[in-house]
Amino acid sequence: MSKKIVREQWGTRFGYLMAVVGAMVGAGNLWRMPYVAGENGGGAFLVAYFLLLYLIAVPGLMGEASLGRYAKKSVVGTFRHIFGNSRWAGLGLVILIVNIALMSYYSSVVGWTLYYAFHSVIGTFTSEGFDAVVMWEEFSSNPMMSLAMHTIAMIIVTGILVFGVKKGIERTVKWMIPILAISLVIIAIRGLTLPGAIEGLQFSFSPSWEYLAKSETWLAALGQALFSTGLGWGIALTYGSYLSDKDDIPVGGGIFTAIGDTSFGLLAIFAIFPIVFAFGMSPSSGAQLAFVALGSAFSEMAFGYLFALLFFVSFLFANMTSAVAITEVGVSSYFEGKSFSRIRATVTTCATIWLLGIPSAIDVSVLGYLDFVVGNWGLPLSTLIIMLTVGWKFDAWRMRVVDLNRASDMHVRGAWEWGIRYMIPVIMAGIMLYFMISNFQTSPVMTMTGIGLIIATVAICLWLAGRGAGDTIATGKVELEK
Amino acid sequence: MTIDAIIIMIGAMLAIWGVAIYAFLESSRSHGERLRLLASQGSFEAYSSKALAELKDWIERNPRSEHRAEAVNAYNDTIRQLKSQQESFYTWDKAEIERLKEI
Repeated sequence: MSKKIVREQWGTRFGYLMAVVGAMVGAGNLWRMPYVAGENGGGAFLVAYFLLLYLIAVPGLMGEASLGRYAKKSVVGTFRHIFGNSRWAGLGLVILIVNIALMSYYSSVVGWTLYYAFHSVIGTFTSEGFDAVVMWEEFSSNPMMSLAMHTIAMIIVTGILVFGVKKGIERTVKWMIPILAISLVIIAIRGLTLPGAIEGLQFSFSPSWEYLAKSETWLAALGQALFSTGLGWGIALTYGSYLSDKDDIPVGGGIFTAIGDTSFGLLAIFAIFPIVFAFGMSPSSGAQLAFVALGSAFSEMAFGYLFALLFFVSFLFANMTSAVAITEVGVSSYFEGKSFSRIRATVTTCATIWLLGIPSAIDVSVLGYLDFVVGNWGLPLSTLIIMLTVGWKFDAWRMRVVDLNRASDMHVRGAWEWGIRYMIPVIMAGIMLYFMISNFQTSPVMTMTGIGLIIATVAICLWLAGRGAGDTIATGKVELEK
Repeated sequence: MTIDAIIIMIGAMLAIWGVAIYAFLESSRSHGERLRLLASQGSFEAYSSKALAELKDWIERNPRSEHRAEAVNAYNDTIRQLKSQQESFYTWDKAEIERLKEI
């Protein structure tokens, strides 16, 4: 008797669209984009950002999702499918490891939002004598509490992923993302009616055109366009692998994913900055903007309980849907080709991430170091690998005519191939080099160890794949002879 | 707010929210059409007229490619589908369909 494992597919188009947007919308949209825009020329930054979004993120996401839909395998399985038994198949393993490393500390960030969402539910922000700075300091100096939040975050991610694509991911994002959008709209309406709120919009949108002549503006726009949309992390590939051949990629997997993700960043500008300026806070206080500044603002605002609840629960949803997507990259790779259940694969993957995440949860300097390595070189390397694979190994021309334009809602033209083959790889290589040079001047030890770690990871993965060890990770469909 | 900031704000709203909402609605609408065709006739053609012409061009220019058979199958399947189905997903001219020949 032969038993075949059939790959799951999305149940609805709405579910897929919410899942891809949910995967990309995260902390970076809500607290980073508004102040990066304001700090880099406001409207001028938005023009640069929008241009780069269309030149890089949209075509890149189309290629990544198309690769996943074509292979209908996980990240590791896709690279095995494309590169066969050569050592280069190990590049898929590199992307998987980058995702596992990313999730090991991102889980702690989800834990922070979980802690704040819980306190918004019990009304801490509007309780008498509440002090946002004290709350943040008490939480961030309590490693056991951070560990507990990291643990609960991973339990929730496990609880969603054990149910699979349709009943787990899709069922969750179908209500989380609309709630996130509606909550931000409600907060924006409240924020815009506060006295002094318009200053926030002036800060974000007022164009200082001279910033377009500065390389820092373009670099900031590029960083936002790349890191916010999750291009080349393996998420679009994994989610694309659950699409059927009769589904569109260019409009849903490319344009909607990138622009839909940016829509939440724009919404955050309207929701957060009017409040920040109305309460006289610093717009460039990063993570503390959300946890300290806004926590303090909600405590002084009329109906503060409601707005704190909407904001922190939405913030949790934004981070949770990203965490689910990052973890799914690992679960799908581990599950694929195995005869055991998805439950076992999910629990094993999540338990591994939980274990690896303990140091980041109890020591924020570990989190900072991992973020430094993964953000500066791990994620750009993943993007570079995926773009080079689509552009050169698979062949961008073949990808476009055979798969990307199959059942598509728009016709993708030949210029797309140029972007995938040359423009995005050159930009990614340039970014990695820039990060290497600029960080070497300020943090030489961290830079050298970080680059050493990346090189060692790539070398080990290629060596493992060369020895055929990748066969034990993923080979696609499994046939069990009984 | 200054006039230039207002213009940028409205421009960003149109360019970002406008495009996102349009892409969402268009993607959902065409997916509904796909589902209707799948329910009524079981399948529909995979490529538009332009996409099919580009697929043929790739096949002709890559006669020795190891992936040629896959592309030829996709091309021929589309022609068979176009000639057998009642309704098409993309806009096709009947005379154009009749002119198409399998490879």
